[in-house]
Amino acid sequence: MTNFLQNLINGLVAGSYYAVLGMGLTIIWGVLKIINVAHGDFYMLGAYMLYTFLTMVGVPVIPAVMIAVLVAAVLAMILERAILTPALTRDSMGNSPFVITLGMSILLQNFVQLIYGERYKSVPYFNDAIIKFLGVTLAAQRIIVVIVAFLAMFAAMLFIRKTRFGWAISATSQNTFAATLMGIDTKKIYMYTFGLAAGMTALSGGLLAPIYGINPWMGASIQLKSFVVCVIGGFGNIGGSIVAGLLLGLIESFAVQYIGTDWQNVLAYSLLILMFWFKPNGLFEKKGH
Amino acid sequence: MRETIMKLFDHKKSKRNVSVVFFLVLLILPVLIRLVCDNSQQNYFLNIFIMCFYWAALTSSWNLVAGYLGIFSMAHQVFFGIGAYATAMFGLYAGTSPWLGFLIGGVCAALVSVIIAVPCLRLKKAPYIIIATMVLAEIVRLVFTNLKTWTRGSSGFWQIRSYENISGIDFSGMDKIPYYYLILLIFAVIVGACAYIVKSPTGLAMEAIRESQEAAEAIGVNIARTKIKVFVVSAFMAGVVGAFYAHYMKILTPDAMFGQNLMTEFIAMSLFGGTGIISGPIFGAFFITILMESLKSLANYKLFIYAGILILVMIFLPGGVLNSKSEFTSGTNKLKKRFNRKSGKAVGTK
Repeated sequence: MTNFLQNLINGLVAGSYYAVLGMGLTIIWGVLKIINVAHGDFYMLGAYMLYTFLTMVGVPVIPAVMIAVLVAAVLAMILERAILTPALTRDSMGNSPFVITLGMSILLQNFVQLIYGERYKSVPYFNDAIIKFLGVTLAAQRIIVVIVAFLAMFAAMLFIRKTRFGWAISATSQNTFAATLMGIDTKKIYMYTFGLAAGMTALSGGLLAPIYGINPWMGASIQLKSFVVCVIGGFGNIGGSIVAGLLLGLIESFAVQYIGTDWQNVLAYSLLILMFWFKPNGLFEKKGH
Repeated sequence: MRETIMKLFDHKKSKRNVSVVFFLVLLILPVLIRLVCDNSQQNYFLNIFIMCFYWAALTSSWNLVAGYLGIFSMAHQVFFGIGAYATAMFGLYAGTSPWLGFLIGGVCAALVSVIIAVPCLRLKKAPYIIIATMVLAEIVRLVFTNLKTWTRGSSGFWQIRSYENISGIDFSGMDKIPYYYLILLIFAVIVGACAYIVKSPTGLAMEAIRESQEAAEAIGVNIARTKIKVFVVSAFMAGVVGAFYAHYMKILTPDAMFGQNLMTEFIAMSLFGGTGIISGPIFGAFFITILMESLKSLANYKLFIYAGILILVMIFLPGGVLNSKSEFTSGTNKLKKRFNRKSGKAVGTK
């Protein structure tokens, strides 16, 4: 029973940030219609920015997280406008936006490696408390992660559903041409969407940095996990990616005691292949589409 | 000016002559190098060309799948790695000769390619194929890292045997000339095979599939069969090159052979030269390999250079250098106009 509870909680913790990551990637897919392989690297960037401001500069935790997220989001917007927009606005874009995000990903990884070195770095816990109940031990850090992840997802949903800017994002994702006719500046929407997604990713990177430690290549596996979440939830389906993220977290945490941590990622990636095989449009495919 | 640039690209008539001259130059190159260099310098230059050859052979085989068939596979490094690992492992555990490794490596890579191709066949959307191949490549990397008893995990294989001497030709690696001619032969055969396939009915079917799967199906192209066939042939080629690499470099690790960085290099070379034509990936591989070798003092920034190439090529020359006739001509026109305007102004102010 205790074991079950422990797994359940670990699964929810991991799942909540998978959900945030998948949501970011799926928003980019929905609006820009590209797959972004630099997604995991904004996660890494968020973690490194937090490290910089929290450990190196000495800013308190909450402002440090905010600054880290802001820096990552602004950098993402600058990169999007500078190198992605020229390829996105071309008539036949083909694979070039994807290749540009690949270049962006290499750029970010090597930039961080050059500045901070390639060794593992650790970030202190935000709160050292350890909570015990029903025989389950849990670091307060993990509870913070879950709460902030759900708040971030709620805020992002609210932003997209309730604000004029969010409506513009939805309109662009449904029909770019019609959105342009309605007077929406789609270039601007692209830029802010990319920034929003990068900010969410950077937030989860920052929150998880104390738990997993940071290095310049930490984004690679996160990138592929985000793909798994997006594919299970259905590409472009925000609600679906939240459920899929939690599901993936739970599956991993229950399976890891049988197959070991070495094979944990293999399992997650195999799920993606199975999804492509049986339900390529996601678990929550809307009927009539 | 414009005419001369147009001529540079319009080599349709002289295409065959160009390739004959290209291979003849490569054939006599070691002799030329020997004339001007001492022994260590000679090995240094030969090594650069050996690298050019295997990169060009690999990018050419990727070009079949990505450029002609239109499947942007991100798993091509897997076939290269499988070829290298297969010959190394068979050599170690079964004692097979490195010469047999070409066949073993190629066949193993072709078998793995079927496993990778089958899930990708059902996916019609290009982004899904990219994701599926990226993830499959990562699965292979993790499997090779985790099966420590057979593959020695992340430390990999080293001190792999050299080729056995054949009728007095020394393959010990002291002299790189035998390796030069071996890989030149492989490279020439692969490029020849690519050119042959592209001109054959299969090649036409491939281009039809690239332009529109529905239309290709409507005119009676067997899509599944064509895709599998091309995937297997391309993987076989990569596997053969991998087998050469294993016995030439003599060191293999899962991260170096199956990692995403290798794929990035393929993509940068192929897209720089231009995909969908035979000469594009070859030009890209030669240009970038020689560029990287001459910038060796900047080795720490190697991946920055790759990223820069990828981004700049995609923004300014999305078809690659050899596919961008119109970009170049319009670019020279613009320059000409600007030049005229400037000189006109200068005249006016006087």
